[in-house]
Amino acid sequence: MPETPERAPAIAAPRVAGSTRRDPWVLLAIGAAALIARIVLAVTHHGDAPATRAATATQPDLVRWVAADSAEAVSRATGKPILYEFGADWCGPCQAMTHDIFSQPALARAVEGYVVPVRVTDRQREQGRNPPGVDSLQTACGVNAFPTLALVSRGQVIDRQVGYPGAAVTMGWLARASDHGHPPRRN
Amino acid sequence: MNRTLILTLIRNRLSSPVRLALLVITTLSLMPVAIFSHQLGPIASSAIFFGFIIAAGAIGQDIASGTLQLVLARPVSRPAYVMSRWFATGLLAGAWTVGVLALAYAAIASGPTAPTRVEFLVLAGEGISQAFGGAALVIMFSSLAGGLGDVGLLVGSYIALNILGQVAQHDDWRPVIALVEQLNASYTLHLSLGWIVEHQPPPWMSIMVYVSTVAFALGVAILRLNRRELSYAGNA
Repeated sequence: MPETPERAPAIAAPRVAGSTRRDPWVLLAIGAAALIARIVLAVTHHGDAPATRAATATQPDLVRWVAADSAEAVSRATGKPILYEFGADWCGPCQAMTHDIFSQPALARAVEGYVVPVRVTDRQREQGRNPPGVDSLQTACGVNAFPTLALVSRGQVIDRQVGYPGAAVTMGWLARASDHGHPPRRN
Repeated sequence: MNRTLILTLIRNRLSSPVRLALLVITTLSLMPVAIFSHQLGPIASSAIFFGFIIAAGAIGQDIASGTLQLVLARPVSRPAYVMSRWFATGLLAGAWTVGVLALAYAAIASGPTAPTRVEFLVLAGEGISQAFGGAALVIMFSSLAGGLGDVGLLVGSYIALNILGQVAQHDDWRPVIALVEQLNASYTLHLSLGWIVEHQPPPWMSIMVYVSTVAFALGVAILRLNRRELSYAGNA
């Protein structure tokens, strides 16, 4: 259905005094200043970093990730559910999540307090295939986008978060979801 | 900015059955995801699409239909016209996002993993910022192409960028990969606000990406419109 063209409105506002030719240049100058700041930030924080989600010199990943094959045993021993963090090196939101959460001392400690954290990095794009076990874990947790956080308790996926909605939301989700997913502690 | 232009465009968008249908379809596809996953994140991060839908053709359709000449014959400057277009579309897209978020929040509020009010407010703020960011991008493309050509420019440039990214990944062109990552960030414009309630330092990179993209987009749109010659004798 074609849209009705907008009618020219009756405007009674007075004409702006002076030339408005400079207006775009002011905006472009602000954009250029922000772009320079963006480049400086990219170079000082990320630009010279290796293409990996692991620690960088300025933003170390402070979470002590547990190996996937021993996570089940650690979960049973500690009574905490397992948090699988599915991501990839090329995934921008994954980097943002690492920066906002896993590199912050208080939040990294909180993550370790709630769950047994396991990082699963997809290598399909870089290497053409994934390390053993990654594809099966992704299938089991229903991963079809990065980042995905999957909370697993007693072998069952009890909750998932797809995408990165920000640190506050992610930590809130983690706190509530892990609270509902405590497996019975082995005595 | 001009209040009359803002109100007129909002009224125009709200009376467009095609746009309303697109907004409702997008909303209906997001609601089940939010309700079943007990998360508002998918809705907030889709606010940019509401901005795209509402802002599409904001300037281009005026150019194609000849309305632009009539609007600019009134006492309104070209920068004011562009800023009014951006503000109106961003405002409407932001309001729609908050409405959808509120509906989803009401639906999942009784669940065991319902978001808190603070989370709702943070996501509403992020959604509004994304809506305004998306609207700015489309306004820029709309100033460059008539009719709904802005949609083609937006989609085409995004696809071209990602093809370039794939090629760069394949051939390991690090500078190109970095450039594509930066440009891709300008198409998503996710401005995290969680740091405010988490008492964390501001995510300067996200803020600079947002500010640079929106300022450049609006600057280019005004510059293009300032240089556009309008004729009353043409076939517009």
